[in-house]
Amino acid sequence: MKNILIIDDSATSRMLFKAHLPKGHAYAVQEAKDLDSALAANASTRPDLVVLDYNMPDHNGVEVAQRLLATGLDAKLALLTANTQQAVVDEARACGFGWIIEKPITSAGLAKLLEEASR
Amino acid sequence: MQATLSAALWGDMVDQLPLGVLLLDPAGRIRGWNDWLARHTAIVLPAALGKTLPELFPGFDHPRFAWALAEVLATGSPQVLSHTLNRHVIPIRLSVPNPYELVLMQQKVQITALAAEDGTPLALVSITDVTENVLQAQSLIAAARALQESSHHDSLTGLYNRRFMASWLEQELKQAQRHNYPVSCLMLDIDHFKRINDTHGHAVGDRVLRDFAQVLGGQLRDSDLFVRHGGEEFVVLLTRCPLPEALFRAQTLLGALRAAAVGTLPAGAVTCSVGAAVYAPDAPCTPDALLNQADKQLYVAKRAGRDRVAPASI
Amino acid sequence: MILTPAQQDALVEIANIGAGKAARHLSVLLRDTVQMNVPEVCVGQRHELSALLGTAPGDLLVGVRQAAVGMLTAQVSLLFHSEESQQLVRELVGIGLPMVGADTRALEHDAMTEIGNIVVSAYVGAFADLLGGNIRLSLAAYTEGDLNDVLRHLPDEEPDQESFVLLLKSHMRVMKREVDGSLIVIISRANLGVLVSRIDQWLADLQSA
Repeated sequence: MKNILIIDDSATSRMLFKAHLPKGHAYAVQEAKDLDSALAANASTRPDLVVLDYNMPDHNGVEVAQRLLATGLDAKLALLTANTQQAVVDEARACGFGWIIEKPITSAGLAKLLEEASR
Repeated sequence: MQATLSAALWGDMVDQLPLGVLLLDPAGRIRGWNDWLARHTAIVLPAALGKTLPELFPGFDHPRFAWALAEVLATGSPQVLSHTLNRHVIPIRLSVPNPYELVLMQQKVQITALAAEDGTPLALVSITDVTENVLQAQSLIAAARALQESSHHDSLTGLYNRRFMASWLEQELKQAQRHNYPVSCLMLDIDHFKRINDTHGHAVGDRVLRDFAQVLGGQLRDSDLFVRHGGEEFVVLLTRCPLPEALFRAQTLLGALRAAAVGTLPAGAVTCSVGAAVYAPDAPCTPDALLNQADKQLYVAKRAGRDRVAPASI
Repeated sequence: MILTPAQQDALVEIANIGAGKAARHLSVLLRDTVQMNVPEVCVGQRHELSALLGTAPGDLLVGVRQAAVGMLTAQVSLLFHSEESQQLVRELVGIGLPMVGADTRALEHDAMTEIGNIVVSAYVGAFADLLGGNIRLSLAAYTEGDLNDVLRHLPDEEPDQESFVLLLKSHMRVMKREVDGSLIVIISRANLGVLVSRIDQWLADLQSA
């Protein structure tokens, strides 16, 4: 596993994600802030793991994932959200998300995701 | 010079307070349990100390209380648990029967932070008995609810009625304009309902209306509003739904209806026609205008041969 | 005081996490799905609050107020536009009618106080979690009235200083109702400065990580 795509409308949140990656990691991290840039990023890099924020202005993370899957995304999916209520978890699981990570992200949480996703 | 009160006197005071006082440590173990709690739960202080609430009350499972407790211990900031949203925290049986079949004492709870001498954070839980207030309010609510049920719901189908829709729609359209989203309106009318009534009798007619409500209701979302508008006419309001999506969903409703046995009639025997209209926030209209527009389209669907949606497409 | 785009983005993300946590806790409490959008964040002077909130004079607001002390020292209130939020609370209490006497008003206030307390705790918790440091809140007090009534209860901490307001507006959908809630943080210039420099420090730490 090498390519990670992080999709979050917030630059701060994307920065938080990158800041919590393990020291000296060898992942190539692509960033997208909305559906359009995510579609472009998916087309150019073919990510192995896509990490999506749930609460975004135009489409939520699950909706963005559905659009990416419809255009041929072949990657593992993780949802990043402070809102872990059952309805959100169910919606994500139904779409094929393998991980629901609670915001704010922690180094330990991210390390566990990367370890499990590379299996 | 004023004399300092002794710890024993403070203890007596806590015991005489007309409310439950409970002290929990970060492991959820009871570190304090006043006389009020001992009296009402019939659990004496030595039996309570060191135990957790689930140990004392088997089946104790209260996610809101657990989170509030964790929050108080972690941040030092207080939390309140209202009676309205929680009913009670500590299960205490009421000894005096009441007309509203309340079995447990109704409580209002406040949790604040304390620190033990060694710095361990503690949570002070104070429990006020509000059963009396609840009983008083219940009698008012019972009267209000009886009125509300009959004034908001259709008694045959259990759907919302026209009167509820009028107040809901007015609010909803204001919101739609403020937050700039569309609201679609479907007006539905069961085809040849009079013929069904005449051929099979009113009892079957009523069953058809009830089953119709149930079959279509099963296709709707939480955010949709399903209304019996009168007779065999129904309204479905779809919030945040543009017209093309509404037309698609109307087709789904017709499909589900054709596939269902309704009343005592076989699948396919009951169909309906649908007229659709949309409230667009950039061209606001009144609730009546929206309903009229959908009604006009319903007429178009009827004239075009029934069992269909109008407009057919946009 | 004008925020840089980076500070603005950081505040939106903190607010977003607070709103997400609030939505989750409310969904447990209300046993219903709670949707919350990405909050809007803005800063202005206290006297501009009415314009920022978009309320007209005389508009009735209900909510709670709590004093925050620590990394964030400010008067924090959560206000709902009353018509919608009172409808919501009435549904929770089980009454659908505007009638009903003082006895049930008390129950409504208690429910509103708890909901407000949960939302304020979630937002303030997000500030503390992300920026590091402690924030203590006072007990939640119910408040209602027009904006002036509500503000009258909020003392100026340092009367000789102009005070600012940090506004986090969010929109929530619960029990078929659309409810607008705004977290209003009334803060002195000095304390706002402390908060903003804390955010700058946080962003710098993240960038160098």
